[in-house]
Amino acid sequence: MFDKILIANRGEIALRIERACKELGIATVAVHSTADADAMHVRLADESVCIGAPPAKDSYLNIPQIVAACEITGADAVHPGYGFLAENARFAEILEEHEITFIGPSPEHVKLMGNKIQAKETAKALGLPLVPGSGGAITDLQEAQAIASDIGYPVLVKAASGGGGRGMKVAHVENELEPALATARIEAKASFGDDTVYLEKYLAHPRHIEVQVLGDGEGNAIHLGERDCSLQRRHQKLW
Amino acid sequence: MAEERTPQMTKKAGSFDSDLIRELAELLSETGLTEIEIEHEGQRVRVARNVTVGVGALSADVARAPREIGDRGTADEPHHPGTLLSPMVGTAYRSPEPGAPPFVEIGSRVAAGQTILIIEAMKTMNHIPAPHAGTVLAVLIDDGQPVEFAEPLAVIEKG
Repeated sequence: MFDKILIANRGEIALRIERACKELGIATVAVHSTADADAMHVRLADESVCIGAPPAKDSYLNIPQIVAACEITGADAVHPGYGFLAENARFAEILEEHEITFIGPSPEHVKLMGNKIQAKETAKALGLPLVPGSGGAITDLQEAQAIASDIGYPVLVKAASGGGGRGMKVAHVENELEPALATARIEAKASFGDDTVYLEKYLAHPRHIEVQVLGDGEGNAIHLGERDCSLQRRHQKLW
Repeated sequence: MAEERTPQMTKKAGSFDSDLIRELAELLSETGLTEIEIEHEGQRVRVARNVTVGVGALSADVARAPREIGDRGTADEPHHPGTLLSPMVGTAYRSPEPGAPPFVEIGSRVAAGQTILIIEAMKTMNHIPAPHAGTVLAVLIDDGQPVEFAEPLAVIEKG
């Protein structure tokens, strides 16, 4: 069991982790940007460290500051919550090098599924059906136009490192493609520190079904059954 | 309900007297005052609460109280325009190596770019330079103290 966990997240996500830690008798360290100094997750944690300026790339996505915060507080593990650095393989790797436990999948597994382009390649290699799309990163407009007219509009520009509905833009017709690409890139860079984007066919009324899997790192794993996440607001699940 | 929050106030308290604060907090709720400030043997303690906003504001105010304590210089940080804020999270050191004299003392004249202290983060020693030339009015950290982003480190008056 851990003695002290640093929570690399904020808001309701961080609060849930704090609550679980309290139940387990584990001390918590909250990290926050200068804008969130009075946030509830900071007030309710046992300790807190300000790690940077308000933009997420300077604070909640700032790996060196988060590792330094572990060092000064003596945290032995990091819980990334979801979003931010939760699916960042580099973060998981750096923590491993510093002998801090990343509460999440191994860097290898994060690499396999955390990046959406890589995840699609993994699924394809396993023979699973995929939504048609670019099959890789999009680097220029001409390439995007050619793929879009091939798979047919509407198309969706998605961030390879995306999550939480950020870095996704729909183009219904060809002249919407250029602004969609630009906006998705800017959002992706700001939210995830990576502006790699790809293209896929836009599904207007899909069902979003997840199966959540939990493993204890000792070879035991369970799944929590099907979860229908179709009801969304701004591409974010409502429950 | 405000009384139940008092144990939270020892958060980040570090080396100073948490019993004193607890006593002051109890006094605060007994008397219905919103703020008590006392100075004793070089330590200044302020305990405040915001009645209209409620319990949350109380614990936040008190959590911040430790910052107002200490006598490490004459400047009114962090409002002084010459306050040097930490650009990173890490462990601050006042001298280049253990046992060596500190980079600067209160009253030292410094040139722009001169090292004021070192912050160690991820085993890297980062020299923190003076943003401008001037006189060191205060050094706000102890040697070996952990610092967070934007924490006031020193006050250097221009000129």
